[in-house]
Amino acid sequence: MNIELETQQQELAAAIRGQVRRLPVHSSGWEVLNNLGFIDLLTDEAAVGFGQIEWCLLFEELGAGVRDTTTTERVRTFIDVYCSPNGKADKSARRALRDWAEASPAEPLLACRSADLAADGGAVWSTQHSVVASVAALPSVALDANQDQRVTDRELLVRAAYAIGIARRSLEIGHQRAVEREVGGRRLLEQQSTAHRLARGAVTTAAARLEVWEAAWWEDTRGPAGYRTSSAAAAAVSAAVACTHESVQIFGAAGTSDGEVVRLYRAAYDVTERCGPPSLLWHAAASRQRPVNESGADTCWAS
Amino acid sequence: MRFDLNPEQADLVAELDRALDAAPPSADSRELFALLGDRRLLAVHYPTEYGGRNLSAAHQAAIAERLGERGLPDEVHLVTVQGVGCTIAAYGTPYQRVTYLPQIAAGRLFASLLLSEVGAGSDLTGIQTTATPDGTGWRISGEKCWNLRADWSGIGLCSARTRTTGNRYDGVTQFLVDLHAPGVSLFPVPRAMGEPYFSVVLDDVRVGPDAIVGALHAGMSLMMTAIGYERAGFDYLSRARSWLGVAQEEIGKLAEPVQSELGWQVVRLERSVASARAMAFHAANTARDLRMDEVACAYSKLACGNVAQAVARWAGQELLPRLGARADGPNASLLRAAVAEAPELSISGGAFELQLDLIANEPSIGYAVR
Repeated sequence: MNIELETQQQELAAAIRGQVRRLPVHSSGWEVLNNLGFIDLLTDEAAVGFGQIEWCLLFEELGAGVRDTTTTERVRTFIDVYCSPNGKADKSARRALRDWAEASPAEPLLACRSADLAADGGAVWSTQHSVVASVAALPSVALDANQDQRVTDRELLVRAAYAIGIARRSLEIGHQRAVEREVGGRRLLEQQSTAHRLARGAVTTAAARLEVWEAAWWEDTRGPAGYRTSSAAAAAVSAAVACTHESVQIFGAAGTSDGEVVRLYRAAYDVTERCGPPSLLWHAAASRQRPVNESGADTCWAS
Repeated sequence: MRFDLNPEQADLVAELDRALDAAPPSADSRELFALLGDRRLLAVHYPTEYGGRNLSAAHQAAIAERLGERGLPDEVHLVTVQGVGCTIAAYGTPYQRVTYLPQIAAGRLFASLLLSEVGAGSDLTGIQTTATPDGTGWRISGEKCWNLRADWSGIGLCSARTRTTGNRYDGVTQFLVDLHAPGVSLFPVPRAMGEPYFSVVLDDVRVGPDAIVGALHAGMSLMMTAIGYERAGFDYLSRARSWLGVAQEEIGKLAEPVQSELGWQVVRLERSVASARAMAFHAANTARDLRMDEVACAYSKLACGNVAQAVARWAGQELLPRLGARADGPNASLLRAAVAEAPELSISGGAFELQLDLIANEPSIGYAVR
């Protein structure tokens, strides 16, 4: 067992983090990634090695920068549905993705579930309404119910990673404030009420991040992460909400007007709306876990 | 990145299981430790010449985890092999290493960390135990408290004040004390659950010059290191896992609506245990020359302790009141014992407040697990 990131993963996160800091706050997540030549990575053969862990690292950084990820999420889902490594549509889909990126931001990347249902209750994905010809020409993809659930889970997983970024950044700015701010001649950080507020947030965030990473690792190496994803999302949004509240408290009155503190605070609730309430997510995790455990095929111990 | 044991670690755990499965059913814990020691399975991260296998701390963590799962008193193993043994391995003299480490690795010698005193728990600079020069050796007097299973121990790593200056951090020295020497007395102190703590009274106990571990008068940092070795939280993790396992067994016997009602709470705890486990292994993976990163250990200890406490609290509040006729059964007794023990998990082996301070003061918060 080893949760160390590989060098390439660390470099990926560092590159995005740097770009997030360089670009103005209104730049979207996709603009951040485009500036790094990200489309080349995604449309290249190397993209095959770009797994859920990498997506989660990427979304954590975008979350820390509170960047809009509408387009990035669509690109990720498009790749999930159309560019499976051995899928027939893989090459043409990657070419279409590049065409879209060159036309961007003329239109959002249009790939969505059509009104038609697959025979077994799954979904048919379609790009027919895209104005980018090569995208519109892609054949529809029918996913069975399990495959479609997996697409949904992966969407949830990167949103959870985004929430981790919000939690982490809230701690970082809270920590910086506690280091710089003096009250009664002592730094805030020297006071346990503040220091422990930050430390508890750090432990909560680290634990939630590991849930997200484990679900991503499961997706990359084992198969559907299933209930782990629902639970990870619940833990992540809980961490985001908790840490942004702590950040406001540490900033005091300034926390109600400081641009970044407020942005993060709002983003925590926004990502909660997109992921769902933690209580429902945990209930979903429980209902998804039980059949798995009853079959004896799976337990919580990944050993 | 991987969230399971690597093949080598899994093989090691399987080897440990085979050894324990082959042991006579009547063997007690100390006999089992000796049996594992004979197979070099107790301290696999020690150098080969001292009875280990020269493997990593993460391999040792896999062993420690399994010992707890198999019901062996893993806290004794942690204090002996990690707390005292690793301190000797890292800071001891060649004589001390040769004398003690092979015995520890063989499961023939247990050890205690004699650091805390009634007035010096979280603040270890407040120790009152003294060591005064006596010819070439020293005479130690004082009282050490909160030592689990000290009655098993042959030696103790004991902190004593060897000089008094204006600096509270100066003048503390670490000694290896023979706990069967004249002047050593043990007094059991009952606790909320389980084995009693022992108060170890040292009355003019003579030790030789070769008893000093590390530098004279400069043992304060060594004391923190010694605690750090046992701080990754694996003992708490094994409690969390076994308590949750027992709870799940009981939930399985409840009516379906109640099972559904409790299901999401169990999943939440289950996933928290999994995260704590990953953090504990992460702390073990930071080890270099047997020394683990103290901030990573702080994260691990907090995560493991928090989740063990959460499981106990949840069992006490949500599960035990629902057990009805089975409230007197063995599982319920075990969960009540968990409830009784839970509070001390955030106090023993370095109070949570100390771990929180460590995390809050790292230059980039959250870096340790990222």
